[in-house]
Amino acid sequence: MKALTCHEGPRRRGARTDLVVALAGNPNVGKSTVFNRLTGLEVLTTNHPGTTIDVTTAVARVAGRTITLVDLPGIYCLTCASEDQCAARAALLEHPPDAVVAILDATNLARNLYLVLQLLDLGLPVVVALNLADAAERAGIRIDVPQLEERLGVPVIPTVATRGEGLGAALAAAVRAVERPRVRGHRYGPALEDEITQLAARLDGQSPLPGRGAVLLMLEGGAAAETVLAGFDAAALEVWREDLRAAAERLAQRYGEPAALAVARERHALADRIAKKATLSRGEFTGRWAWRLATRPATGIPLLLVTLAALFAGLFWGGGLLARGVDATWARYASPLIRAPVLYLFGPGGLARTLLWGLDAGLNAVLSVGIPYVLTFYLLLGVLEDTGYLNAATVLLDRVLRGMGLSGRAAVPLVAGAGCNVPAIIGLRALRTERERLIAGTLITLVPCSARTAVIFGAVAYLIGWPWALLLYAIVTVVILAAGWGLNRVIPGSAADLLMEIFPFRVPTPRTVLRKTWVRVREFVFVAVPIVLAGSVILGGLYETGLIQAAVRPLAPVVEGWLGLPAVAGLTLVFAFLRKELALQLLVALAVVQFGRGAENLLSFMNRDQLFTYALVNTLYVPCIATAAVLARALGRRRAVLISLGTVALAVFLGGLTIRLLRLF
Amino acid sequence: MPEPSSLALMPAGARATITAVPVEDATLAGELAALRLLPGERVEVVEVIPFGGPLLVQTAGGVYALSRRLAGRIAVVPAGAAEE
Repeated sequence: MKALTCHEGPRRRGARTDLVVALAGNPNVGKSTVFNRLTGLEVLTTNHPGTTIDVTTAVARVAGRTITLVDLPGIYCLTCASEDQCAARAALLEHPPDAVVAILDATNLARNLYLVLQLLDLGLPVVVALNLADAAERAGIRIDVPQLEERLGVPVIPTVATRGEGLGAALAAAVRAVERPRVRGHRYGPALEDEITQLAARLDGQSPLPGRGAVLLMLEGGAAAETVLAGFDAAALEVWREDLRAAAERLAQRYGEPAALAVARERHALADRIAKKATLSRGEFTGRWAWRLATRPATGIPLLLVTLAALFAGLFWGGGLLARGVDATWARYASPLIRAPVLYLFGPGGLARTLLWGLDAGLNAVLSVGIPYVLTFYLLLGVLEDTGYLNAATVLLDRVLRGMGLSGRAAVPLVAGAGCNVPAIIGLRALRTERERLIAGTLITLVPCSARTAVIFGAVAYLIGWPWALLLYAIVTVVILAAGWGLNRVIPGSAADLLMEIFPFRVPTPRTVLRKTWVRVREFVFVAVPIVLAGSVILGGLYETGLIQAAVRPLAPVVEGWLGLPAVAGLTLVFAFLRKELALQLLVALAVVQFGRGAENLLSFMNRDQLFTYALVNTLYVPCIATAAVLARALGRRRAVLISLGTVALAVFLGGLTIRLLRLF
Repeated sequence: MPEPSSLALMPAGARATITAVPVEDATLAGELAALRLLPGERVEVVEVIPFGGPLLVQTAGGVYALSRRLAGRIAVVPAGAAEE
């Protein structure tokens, strides 16, 4: 299925479903957990985050009906500030879903109700999922659910998304809400209501949105206002703009502030009143000390270093253990089982040997070099993400990021880049300015993704020792900082301002972490294996037929002459444009064929200096074909080509320099 | 009576009432409004990250990190002045 675009509703996307239900809510309230839980239960098809906008959809079956679930990016309001927020707004306004499940953080009811009121103003059928009910209970917060239902005029279902509690009920309520007549239970102050009523009466039926919602959106201003009057002819548009301006002026006089602020104030006041009525006990928040610990440099920097060290150690020990285990198991059981039938069927000739490159050595490499480190990395990253620590670390690092022309918001895609560059670059849409997207996009391509981490650990940490891997990361960090610093000076403009919610720390839930890890590693297993198989069979064919000499000849001046690596290693670096971990996997396959089983044999092939240089070049040069493609879509083809060529030049230059320096010691 | 000041000048632990927010940029104003960073709202500075780092500010809507520059565009009166 193809991704959603701004002009294409979920319904036109091929899947024929009865209903479209959107999941909306503030950032970090557990929307995606709800989505995963619901679609994981009875999922038919799943779409992963789109390439054009960040709306994820999946089809689920509830009570005999097929439902398209739309997971929207987190928003506080319908004011459009970045591409992802625009996507959420478009999904709600341009192709209104049949119902909306508004997911609320029960620990911060009043602020979360602001969005609910805005959705209700738009006349959307809303069901409230009062999520994090367990966290609220732990904090001593007690909410009177029937009271909240009465005040809002919509069903309210307490949920604990991480455990799946209440989610089925919420979705069933959403299905029922579609049929239910829409009643609006809330009213703002009389001055505002008067203006709304007068204008809405004239607008009803003329705008695709209900009059009341349309008028409020226009009074609030911003990009959303333009959507409402999109279909009007020039004359009518002029009249409407004049009337709106007059209404906004009257409101500004009445409230003593711009109409947009007056509307926001009225809505907050109402949300506050509803929250107060529905809150039986307010509880007490006791987590401030943790923020202080994580954001004050005196304690925050040591904590950050400890966290990074733990990540590194986890990868070194955990990934290494897994790699050795898989390697031994493969040699003992899988390899003989594969070799025997291949040799029986094809005889001991070149064809069988070429096939064994892929089926034996290639698969061995993907299982022992790629997956152990990728799996361990995502597991550790998942735990880290789930604690909410990254959020606080962003605040600590804001100063460093600003030196590179980035706001703290850019930390999210940069960290995501350490997993995989592709979603990280898609995540650039959350940044506000083109300048910030350009700088962050360039830097993301330099962030070692889990595939490159697998190569660093598999080749450097595993074979020549962890201090060397640490040195390699230090070099890459300096390169990223220098590139950011340079771009910030070269590109006109300045860093965007940070404005970000800080969330309480949470204890990670194993289920959420494991699920996230599986979803991320799954891609590796299903996409990487065929590519590694094909790559190693091609390399095997070249090797067995002797054509490899001709293939590596054009690379020799750079690879042998400048980088000091065996020319065939250069060929694996070229193949790695398909997938970065392929570089080492092909090298391991090559070593297995030439020197026998065991990744240690890479050392008979390349020495310490060469392995280090090889991993460094592999880490720095153009990430991979998928990254280059999404980069072209995010920043334009010309910039993507420039960035890609720039990284190749950088990698080759630094690689040659490194091996010369290493030879001195 | 405390002088009107900017949020960026408040020390950690200080309480204040917002008197003005930047309204020239409708999108920014809308976002600040949704987070309850509005004139008349009370705020508490939870933490000030040194070396020109951001501020953590508690509002009735939650805790937010604001860059020093953005905080500098939000006018406040320190607590005491507005409450009396």
